Amino acid sequence: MNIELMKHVESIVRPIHAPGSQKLRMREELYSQLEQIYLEESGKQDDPQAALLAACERFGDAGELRKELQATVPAVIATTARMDQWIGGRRPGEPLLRYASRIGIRFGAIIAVTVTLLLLWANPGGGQSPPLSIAWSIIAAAGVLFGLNTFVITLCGNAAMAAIEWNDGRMRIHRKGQAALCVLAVGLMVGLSEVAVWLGTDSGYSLADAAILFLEVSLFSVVSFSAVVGLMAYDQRGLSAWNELELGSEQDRQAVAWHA
Amino acid sequence: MIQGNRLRGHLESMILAILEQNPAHGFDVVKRLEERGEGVLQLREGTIYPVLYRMEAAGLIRAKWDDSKADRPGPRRKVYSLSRKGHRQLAKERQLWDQFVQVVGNIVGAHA
Repeated sequence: MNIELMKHVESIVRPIHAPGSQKLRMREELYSQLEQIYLEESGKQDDPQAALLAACERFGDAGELRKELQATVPAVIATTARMDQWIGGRRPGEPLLRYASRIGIRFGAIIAVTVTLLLLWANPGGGQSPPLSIAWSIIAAAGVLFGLNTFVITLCGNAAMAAIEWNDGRMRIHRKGQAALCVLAVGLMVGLSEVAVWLGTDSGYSLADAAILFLEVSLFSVVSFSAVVGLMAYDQRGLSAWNELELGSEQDRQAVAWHA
Repeated sequence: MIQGNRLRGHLESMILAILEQNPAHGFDVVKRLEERGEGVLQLREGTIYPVLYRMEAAGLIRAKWDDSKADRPGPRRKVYSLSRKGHRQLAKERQLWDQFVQVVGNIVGAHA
């Protein structure tokens, strides 16, 4: 595929608020169209750069096209996609560790605020509320545990997906050790968190009970995490080539300006 | 030349008429529009897709991935065809168009 044509298409589609599968369809169809125009223009003139410019000119104004494409996405879906991007989206070029940390902190904070509101709602007058130190402990523990879990799941989820590749429509795990390590880490993290919550809220359980709970939760987490990673990898197939494109500063500027 | 802006409001009917003959990819739809426009129609070729997506969402056309890569490399394309609702809509549009041409023709075409 022609990288310059891909970049032009990506500069149109990247800022659109829509689900990934819908944007992939836009990318594929627009690219296909632009490529055919480019081939026609290449037959008319020898200079590839001139052919590229002529093809883009024939294709139409990028900003106008972007607006029209955005208008084809129903408002509810566009808003959901925008929220999804705001809450869990990865910025272009952002290192994985930093991204996972940012998401972990964000989710931890959201849970801490939610728990605080729930405590206030349950005891608005404060008459029967737990002592302030215990309330703060609950809020802090919920925030830290949730944030930590989100961090590990984001980190391992992305690393596991990076270990998967698609060849002619078939999924293949090309870094099996990395994928296995990610799955185990998530199982361990979620299992330990569940045990910590359990022991923290009820001291009447033995260590054997805790071990059984740990095993059950870990096993469930391993299975569900693997299934989710598989489904997400399926959903994201074909997207990596587009996501890895670095747009030029002018295209970035236009995309960001429109995004804002 | 009749450019994109002047076609607004008519483009959907024109696409329905094009797809009535045969299913087509977006690129072919543009080519057929230009052919039947006898060189007078001038479209920005990328702008066909928002219209196709709108028409698909409205149930006027159906889209199916064309996975055959025998004739060309590159990404997949959708093949668009007319739905039953699209056929009905086209018949309605034709009726309205005939009426429009007659009425406007009588007024604009009448020389003082």
